[in-house]
Amino acid sequence: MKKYAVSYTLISPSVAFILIFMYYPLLSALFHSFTKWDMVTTHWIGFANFGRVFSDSIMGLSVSHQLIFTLTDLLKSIIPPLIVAELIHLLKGKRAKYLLRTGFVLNMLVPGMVGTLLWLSIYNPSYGLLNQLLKFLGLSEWTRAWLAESGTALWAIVMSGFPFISGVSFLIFYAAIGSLNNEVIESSRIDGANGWQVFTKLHIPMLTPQFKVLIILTIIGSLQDFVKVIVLTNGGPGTATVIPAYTMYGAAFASSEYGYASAIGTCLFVVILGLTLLNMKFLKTKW
Amino acid sequence: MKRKIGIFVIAAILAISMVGCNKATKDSVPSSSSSVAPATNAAETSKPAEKKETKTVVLATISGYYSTALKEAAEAYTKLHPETKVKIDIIKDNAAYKTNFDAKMAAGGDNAPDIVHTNLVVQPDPTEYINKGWLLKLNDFVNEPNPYNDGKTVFEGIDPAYHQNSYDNNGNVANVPFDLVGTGFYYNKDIFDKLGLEAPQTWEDLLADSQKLKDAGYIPLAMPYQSSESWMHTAFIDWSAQSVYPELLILPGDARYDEKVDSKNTSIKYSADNPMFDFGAVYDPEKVLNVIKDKKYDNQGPAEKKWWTTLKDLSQFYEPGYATMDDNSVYSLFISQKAAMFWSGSWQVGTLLVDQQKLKDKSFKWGTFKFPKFAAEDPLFPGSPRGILVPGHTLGITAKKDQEQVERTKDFMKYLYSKDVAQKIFERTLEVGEFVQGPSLVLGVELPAAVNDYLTGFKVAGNMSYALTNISEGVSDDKPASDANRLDFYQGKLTVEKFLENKAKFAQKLADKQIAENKYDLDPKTNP
Repeated sequence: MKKYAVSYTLISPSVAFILIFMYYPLLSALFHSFTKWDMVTTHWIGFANFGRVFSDSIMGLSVSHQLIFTLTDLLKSIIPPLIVAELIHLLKGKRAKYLLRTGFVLNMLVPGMVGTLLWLSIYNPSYGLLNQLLKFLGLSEWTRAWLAESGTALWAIVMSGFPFISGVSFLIFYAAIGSLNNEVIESSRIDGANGWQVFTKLHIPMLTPQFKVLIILTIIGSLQDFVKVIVLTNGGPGTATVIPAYTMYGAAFASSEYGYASAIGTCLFVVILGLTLLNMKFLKTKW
Repeated sequence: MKRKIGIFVIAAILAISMVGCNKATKDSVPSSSSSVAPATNAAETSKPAEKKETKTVVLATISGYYSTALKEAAEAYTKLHPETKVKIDIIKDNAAYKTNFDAKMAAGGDNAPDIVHTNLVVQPDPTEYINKGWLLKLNDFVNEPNPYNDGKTVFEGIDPAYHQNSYDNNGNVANVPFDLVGTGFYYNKDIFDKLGLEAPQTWEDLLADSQKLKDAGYIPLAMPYQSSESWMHTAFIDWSAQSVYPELLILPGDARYDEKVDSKNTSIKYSADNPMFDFGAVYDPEKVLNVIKDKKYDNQGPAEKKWWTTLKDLSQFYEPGYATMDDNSVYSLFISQKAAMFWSGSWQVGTLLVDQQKLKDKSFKWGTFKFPKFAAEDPLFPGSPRGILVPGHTLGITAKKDQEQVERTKDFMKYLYSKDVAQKIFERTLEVGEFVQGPSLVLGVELPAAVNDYLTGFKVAGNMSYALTNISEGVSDDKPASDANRLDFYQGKLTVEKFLENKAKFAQKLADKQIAENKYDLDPKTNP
């Protein structure tokens, strides 16, 4: 023990901060999810908040919206970055590779909020780029108030961020493709495999660990993310784009129902923890 | 040796952190040059200049909310009272403001601001925060002489027509109003002139003009649907339900009756011809809640059907995408002349004046008009609609244990509410292009003639009351569902009857919640 005294001493402030600012709020939220809490008085109400979470008609709707967001987020975080990483990997010129690689990673420097506000402007029904483009193409009848019609709002949020080349996903795939076992790939080519076969029969199975990491990160990020909803539609029109995290935020900071918000947060935590445990289990691969 | 190094490093980190915290709380006095002159008589009339401990009074405001002028007033005050530093804490927006205050008070309140905009933290009713002990009861404060305002009491320096807005449900003074804020219609005079239109005076004219504007290719009305349409709702409720108000007053024999606060209630009589009939009224929350049970106000009745149908008709002329459009985008439609009318607040006058200057040759003539009447007299809507012109910027004092801190906070409040300082704050705010909320309520303060002209559309008779707003359209925890209900009605998916039936359920749920939380027995004769 004495031997590691300095190490323990140096690490203790970090541990203290983590305990105070991460684990204490977590435990506090867990406790308060069983209470009616307005930040001054706390009344124990057992599972009433959880009962309300599961009986709330809006919550059912918001879970269905969340499923759509999460499934589409998964597709967006895997397919376009993988395709782009493969295509750049196939290029011959080092300079072109470097330029394109840099180009796709540079967008990581733009804060996510800026991108979201840009899409808010693109979707503006009166002067937004999308409607102006449709009018220019003679498709005026296709113009919409994309974020304000219940039939299009949710899908407009899904499509924001097009063409969905996330810098992180792209880098993960690009680095992994570059380090794949070349001997196996070359052998397959000698055996007559074409590019498509190499991609589907070799690359994709060999990239399984990367898929697993990205899947779990995307699911967690998707469940936690409500910024797009707040900025683009504020949950509307009506209830067309409400999601659980947005409901939690509203319960806490609009209605001061911190106990109920804690219960929603606890449910989200349990879902995320469950998915993380699944991730840990499935990550035990030979790769 | 290693251990000593470790301890030294930790001690250094802690010391740096503490210095940082200390600096943030004690030394953050604004450094901009002072343009707000101290009141001339303050030095003589304030307390003796004995050596006192230096304290910092914090006033929390939001960005652009008189913030530059308040900083300068704070500096001027500190020059007058070096023992009291005043920090103007500028918070990003309304939501963050409330969260910041709530969190700090929940943590004991020591780090909470000393002066807060109660309109940002406790709207519509400050009772809860007074009951929690978060806000100070200002009952005595408003009757104390203000040494910065010729010795008048604080209330004597404020327009008496708006004293009533300072009270909470239990008759305690919770805040002091600084200015008025109201909503009305802005319109583009150039577009109206081009189409031969006049500013509409009736709902029928408004709808007819909107159709003409639409036919001419304009967006007739830019409506901040998410934030400000609700002002119209309250105006309609008030217009149709004023006759019920006398039955909601706290009267002798009621448990809440306090002679000092509620005596005015005994002389209040309803009159459709007198828009000021309920001046000074203080309502009993249990009597208000009884309105539903006693059917004194029908939130599914013919008046509600008429005005909601009128609003549904008007909604056909809102900007495309109004259901989710943010306020800045709505305003941009008006300033870019895509929209011919704009429903907004008096706070926009200052911004519009500045923006028109920036537009130079693309600027346009504009004006304001009031919330209209119906063309034909209707017994459901007696008299005229009352003003949506209520105190906007209202300040309250945080209840803190340190009595000396509270006394110094009160003194700075008095300073702000003196005629000379308030005048400077208004002038300076307009000068730097920030927005004034509307006309000042500090007696003696004059706004420039140009600003007053543009405020015409907001100067309406009487004060609309919020007494029955929750009975009509209160929402507990169902706001998304309530919003969806209204939108479905506007879009023709619900009949007015079904819409009102759904709405009434939300209002009943809120009433039930209030009854349970406050342990009301709905008998105003008994103290809950």
